[in-house]
Amino acid sequence: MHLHTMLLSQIAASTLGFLAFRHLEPRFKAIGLTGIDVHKNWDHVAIEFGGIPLLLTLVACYAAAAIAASCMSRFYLAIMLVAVLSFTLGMLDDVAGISGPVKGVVFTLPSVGLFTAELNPYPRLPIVGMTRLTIFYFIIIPIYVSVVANSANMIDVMNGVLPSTCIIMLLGGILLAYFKGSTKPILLSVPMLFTLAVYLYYNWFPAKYFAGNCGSHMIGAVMAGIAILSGLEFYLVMAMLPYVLNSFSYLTSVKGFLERTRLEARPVIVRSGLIYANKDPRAPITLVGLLTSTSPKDEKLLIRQIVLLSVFSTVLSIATEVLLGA
Amino acid sequence: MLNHLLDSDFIRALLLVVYGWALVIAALLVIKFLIIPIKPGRSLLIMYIVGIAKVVVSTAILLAMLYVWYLLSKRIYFKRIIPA
Repeated sequence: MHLHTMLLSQIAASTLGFLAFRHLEPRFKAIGLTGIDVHKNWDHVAIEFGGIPLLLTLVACYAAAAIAASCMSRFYLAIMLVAVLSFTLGMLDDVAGISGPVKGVVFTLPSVGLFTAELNPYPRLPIVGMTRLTIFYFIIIPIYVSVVANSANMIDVMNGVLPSTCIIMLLGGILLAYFKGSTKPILLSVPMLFTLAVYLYYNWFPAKYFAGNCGSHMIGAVMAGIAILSGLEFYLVMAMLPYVLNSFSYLTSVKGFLERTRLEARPVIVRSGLIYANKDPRAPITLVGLLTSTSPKDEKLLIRQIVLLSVFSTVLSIATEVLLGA
Repeated sequence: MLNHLLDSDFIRALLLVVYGWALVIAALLVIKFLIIPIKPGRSLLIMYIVGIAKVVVSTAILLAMLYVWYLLSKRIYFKRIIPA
């Protein structure tokens, strides 16, 4: 397998994905699959089901990668299965609505895709070294996938935040794999990197597409799948600290898995394009709430700050793996 | 531009991320040094019991640390948003 074959296949597949986004845009608008972006001070409308062209792009990129690197096709198939399953469940959430606690359970299902590939139940943890989790590892995997998928869904509140932070984490993972002399994480991450680059173009401020629950859960589940198959489970946990901070603060402040639509008070208030933390004690604590706790901010600045936090946690994670990794 | 980006709210969020990282490192140290290692030659049943105990204790430690993290973020958040 040559590097240029892989790159060419990815450029071709992501171009197809790009065209899918472009081709579907007027059609989605015509049938009214749009939503208002509440963080803008003008009536900005974006397509709500960006997950559909996102899935097409992802499948195209991984299928092209499977042709270019046939030795990895089992792993690529596993990732595609994870993507399709999480997309389907996310779509169910978009259309019919799934309650919070049920979401936690159902998003363990996409992990089934990972069991079709070869899994290594001996993950290495920094400081601790190699662990032997022959039984517990297979119990952790579904929980891990569900936690990452739901965390990704919860942080996807601002334009471009989810794809850009995931790109940063993937680039960090590739760098770490380079340090460790391993090619598997690179080969698994590259198709996702191209997929997210296409999506970022359409999701960046001001967004033309929102991922929807189908897209954001899919991105999270695939990120978890890549981490598990690459043996970078712990790296992803560390790099995802801003996600963990956001979801954990949210869940503990509302004391449970309460849906956004059923909240008594919104986490933030938007006035004239500025985002203010909600002073209502019933409002959940979120990362955006923490970043606006003393002064209101516009969406662009908040996006930059969240991206910067993600860069910081990714660097911290790489440093931990390199310096303390066993 | 940089001053605008690195304001006090951002620094606090950054410190929470660092605190979260420190908690995870502390949890790893606990797992490494405080939990009895499985020694070869022991019966399978004992190995499983020790293994399960390790998992339970590690999870409990992590959850407790996460709760401290939450308390800290809550304290920072409400202290800033509703000044005394």
